[in-house]
Amino acid sequence: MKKKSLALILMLLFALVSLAGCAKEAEKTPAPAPAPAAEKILKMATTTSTQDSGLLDALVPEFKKDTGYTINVIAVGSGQAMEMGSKGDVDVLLVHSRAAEDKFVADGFGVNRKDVMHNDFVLIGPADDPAKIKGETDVAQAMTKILKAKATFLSRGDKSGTHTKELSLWTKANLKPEGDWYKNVGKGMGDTFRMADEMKGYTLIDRATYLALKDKYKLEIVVEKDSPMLNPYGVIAVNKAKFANVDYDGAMKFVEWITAEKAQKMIAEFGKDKYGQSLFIPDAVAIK
Amino acid sequence: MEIIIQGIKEGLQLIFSMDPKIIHVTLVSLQVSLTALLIAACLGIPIGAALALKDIPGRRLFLNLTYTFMGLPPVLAGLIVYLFLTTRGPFGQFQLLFTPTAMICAQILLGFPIICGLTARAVMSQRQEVYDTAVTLGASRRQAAWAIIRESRMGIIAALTTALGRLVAEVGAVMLVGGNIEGSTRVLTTSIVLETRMGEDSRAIGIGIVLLLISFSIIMIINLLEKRSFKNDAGIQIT
Amino acid sequence: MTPVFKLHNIAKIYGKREVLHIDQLTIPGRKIYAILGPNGSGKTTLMRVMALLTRNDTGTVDVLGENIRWGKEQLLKLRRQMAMVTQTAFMFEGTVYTNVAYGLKVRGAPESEIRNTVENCLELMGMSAFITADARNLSGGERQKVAIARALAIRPRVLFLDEPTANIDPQSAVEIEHHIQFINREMGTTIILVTHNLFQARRLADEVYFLWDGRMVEQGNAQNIFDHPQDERTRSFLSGETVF
Repeated sequence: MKKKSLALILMLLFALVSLAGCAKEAEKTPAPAPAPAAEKILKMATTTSTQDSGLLDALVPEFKKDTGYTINVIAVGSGQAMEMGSKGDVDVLLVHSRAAEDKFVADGFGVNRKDVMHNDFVLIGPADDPAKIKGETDVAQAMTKILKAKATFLSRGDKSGTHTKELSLWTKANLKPEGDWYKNVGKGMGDTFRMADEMKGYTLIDRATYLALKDKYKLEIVVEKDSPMLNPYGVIAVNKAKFANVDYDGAMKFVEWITAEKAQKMIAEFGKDKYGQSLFIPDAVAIK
Repeated sequence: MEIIIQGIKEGLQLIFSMDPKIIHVTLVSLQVSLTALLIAACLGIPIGAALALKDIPGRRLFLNLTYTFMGLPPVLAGLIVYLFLTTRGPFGQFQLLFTPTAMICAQILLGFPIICGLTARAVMSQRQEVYDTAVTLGASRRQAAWAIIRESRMGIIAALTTALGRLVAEVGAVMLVGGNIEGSTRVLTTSIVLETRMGEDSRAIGIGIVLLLISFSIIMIINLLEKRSFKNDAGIQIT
Repeated sequence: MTPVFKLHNIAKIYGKREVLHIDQLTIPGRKIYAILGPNGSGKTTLMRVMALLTRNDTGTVDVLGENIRWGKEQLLKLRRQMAMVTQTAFMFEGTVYTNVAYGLKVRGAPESEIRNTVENCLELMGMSAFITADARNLSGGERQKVAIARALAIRPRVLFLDEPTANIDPQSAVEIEHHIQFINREMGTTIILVTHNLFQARRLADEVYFLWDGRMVEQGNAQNIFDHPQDERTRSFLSGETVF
């Protein structure tokens, strides 16, 4: 009995290992191998917005061309991205949650934080605008009106950069959102947008995601361009002093690359052809 | 390894401290899945038994469809219900999307084929002699059918356990049609997804333990109810 | 007196094979009738047709004076006057009591009457001690005795026994044979015994029907047939030359 099951387990293990080997082989073969050396892979945790907007699809291949590094993108909320960084599971972070980023560096998990770019958040809502805030220039004022009208408002509720930003807007307006009208949905941006559209509610959304998805839904921008709604993205290398396994050199290459003129220009141009406006404004170098 | 042990420790602490949010999502989970199970059982058991016993036209086709749908991916069930309930869908006017009712609908869609299919199989596995014995003792057709269903009850209970286990542990459908709204449609599984996404691994583990405890309790309760029948369930001896 | 069974021109066909073809068969009743024949000769099929469990493809069947039209009500009414014990009797899940009570329960008998009858029938079969036992845990012999008690509980006019002792120990078989004779003599129950056991048929039967390949080749008084078989096939079967 025992011998048999042991043999079975061994066989299963063998099968798994050989399968895994095959999978890796399959991944490797189509890539043109410039150097016989092992492929250099950089693990980056980032927010869903950079992935969903398509920005990374433009940047990642270019980075590979310039440095030979393949970037494995793990797109999650800013909170989870930093949690991954604080466990040493990734090499570099591209996130937008300024306060948390500073704490991450202060706690010694990250080094070399640099501003990369920013985009901005917009407040969107149904066309009939039940809280009557369309055209409001002061976002705090708009939030107050939503709360007073008890108009349905959807909160990401997932500690993402967007959620953090939303909470900071309520705090700045000295409000405490509570009640049935305030729905904490615990979802990504795209899902929250879709739900807000179904429920005819207001929600805070980053402009990139909004532009990418707006044709599918009916919600419109009601408040935008107030200064608290700006959303800066930072890049952080995970501290090699804390985790010996991270690829610090690769991370630093990426930090330098994305803050240099070439990548910054690409960021400035990104989205213009499709949406008629830039989705992200580069911050690292001055671009005319 | 340390991370896992620490996660389990903190997770257990959360359970013992009766974290109100965890209690709430647990109750919503149970309410949604048990309601869906009850409705799916009320439909699935009689229909499954009828499919097994009656020679209705299209029976084979319906059975095969049922077997196919037993493996319906939850997220697909969710999508189907979503398309019906969305404001632009046929039932949009009822405003059911992102309510517990929507989650129950999706879970009924998941649970019904399992209960119906497994009930049909359990009843069909009974042999002709059950019917013969009943009618030769004077049972009417209806009474004999009932005797067959009674003989299949272990199989039917297995069907219910399987379905409930699947419903409580399912995340795709409830996430899609429920929307994971805190205090309303957030359940155990969607909480785990959210807590993981937020990097709150210990909370995720704690909720995961609750989920496992529920599945375990379901099995224990059913074991107790059917103790007599399980007594003979000695299993196969391999020598 | 109307005969208990009257079969005329009965055939049963499975696929292309005619498994049973009886031109004429009349069973008057009251006695012990044995249906004999080698395996696959159609004994069980004939019994199932008489017990109204298998529908004949041609011909007419009369049971207890009624011509069978296979309508729901008629079937129920006639089946309620007959009972059957098979080779390995099926036991419902539950206790011996539940099993013996079943026939009375489906007739809607009052609980007190059910208890009385169940106790009496188990007593008769010497199985009183098993009343609360799990029916699925009985030995082969015990199970057959419970099955006979279960059949008796409904006071049938006809009792079908399909190889009732084929799978059990010799001691229980002897006891069961005594019970069969007792039931027939003291309760006046007509007994149709299907068996391939010549000795059992010889010990119990008053009349014998001998089937070969789905056809009735010889019938009549048991003593006569056993002592002076007329048909070639009966002779070979009785002398043990036929392998079955």
